[in-house]
Amino acid sequence: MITLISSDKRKFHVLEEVANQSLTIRDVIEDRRGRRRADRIILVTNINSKIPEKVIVYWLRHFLMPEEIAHASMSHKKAEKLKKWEAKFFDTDIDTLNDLILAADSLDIPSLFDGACEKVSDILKNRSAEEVGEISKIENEFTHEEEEEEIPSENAWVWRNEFA
Amino acid sequence: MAGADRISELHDSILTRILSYLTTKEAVRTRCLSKRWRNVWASVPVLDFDSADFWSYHIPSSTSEQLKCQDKFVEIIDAVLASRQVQQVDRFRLAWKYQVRNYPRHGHPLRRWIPYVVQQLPRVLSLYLEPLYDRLEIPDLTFTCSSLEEMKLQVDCSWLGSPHPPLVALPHLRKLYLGRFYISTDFMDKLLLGCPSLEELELHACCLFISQISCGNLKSLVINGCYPTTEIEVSIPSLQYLKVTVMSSDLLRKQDIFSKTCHL
Repeated sequence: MITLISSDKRKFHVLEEVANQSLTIRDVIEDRRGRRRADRIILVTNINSKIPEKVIVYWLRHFLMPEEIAHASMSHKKAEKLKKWEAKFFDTDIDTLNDLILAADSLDIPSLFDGACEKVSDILKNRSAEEVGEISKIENEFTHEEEEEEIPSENAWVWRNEFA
Repeated sequence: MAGADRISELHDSILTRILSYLTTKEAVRTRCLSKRWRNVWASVPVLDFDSADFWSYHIPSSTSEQLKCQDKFVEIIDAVLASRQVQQVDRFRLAWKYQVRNYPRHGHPLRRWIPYVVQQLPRVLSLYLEPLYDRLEIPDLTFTCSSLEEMKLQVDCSWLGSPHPPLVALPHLRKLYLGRFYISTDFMDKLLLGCPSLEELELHACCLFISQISCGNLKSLVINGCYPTTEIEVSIPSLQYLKVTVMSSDLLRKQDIFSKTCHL
């Protein structure tokens, strides 16, 4: 069993077999093999307690269905089920997605990282700058003159009409 | 935390990753979000252009209007390529329907786009072209792009003959999809020899002038809606999945496979 400690000092106990879906944790476990119990504590300083909870939920779901098996012989039905589960899992607010991306990045969990990035990309898809700004709180601080200034004079119409 | 824009604080490498799930049009549009986002799109290692994103085919319009739309599309792609800030293309997709302009033989824009992309070692390449007048050739360079792992080619054009690249050398290609091609024996032989890592092959609505498909390590073969012109013998010892729908199915002899498909 290893222990994760979040930035707000909550402890989470996770089985090694489950937690080693994080490549970072896998390395730490390898490094500290055979050492005292106290060394099996991993501080995750950049994330609050809500995130380890979600990460562990994600790990457990994927622990039941390892990626290698998923690719080679998972039946269509099972794959669909996992997809549905993931869609629900990532259906959350932008701040949580942001934290999941940071956690997945520092803990090195590729599938979680990809899934969260894809979900954020959905928010940017087919929306105007104003709509995106409302959801993501990205503030558009351009003045009209600035916007015009930065447009390359060659093929100006491309940037002004097609990508606005 | 509430009320703050935290997405924009993410590292560039994460933002480009997020944008890599979008089409190039959607990715470039994020340049209008804020100053932080101005140039993020230019480092995205994905190029994904679909003519349907830029103009609609449903509006009946004159040929000259269609020509204008098409020239605009070409100009947009050229402008985007020229403004990129990375020398990396991981995935390139071009879907170009309703191509009305008849380019001179070597003047097709693909002749500059494909080398630009191949130079940047793509893993995935997908071309869907629908020329109305032109006899269009897929540049030979496409078949020697050694970094490729997945390739999807479809050219909807009744004039297109069998591709005859002088050489096929795709050592890492695992997945290949060919749509609406004439597949000659010569082309098929070159393909199977030139793609030693091929695991999945799908032929869609192709005209098959071949009498056999034999290959070392193919795991999945899909022949979908094809027109075989003669009996085809399939002998692929490693095959795990086979799906065949042909327009005259009695021409396909399957005795070699049956024993293999039993393992599924």
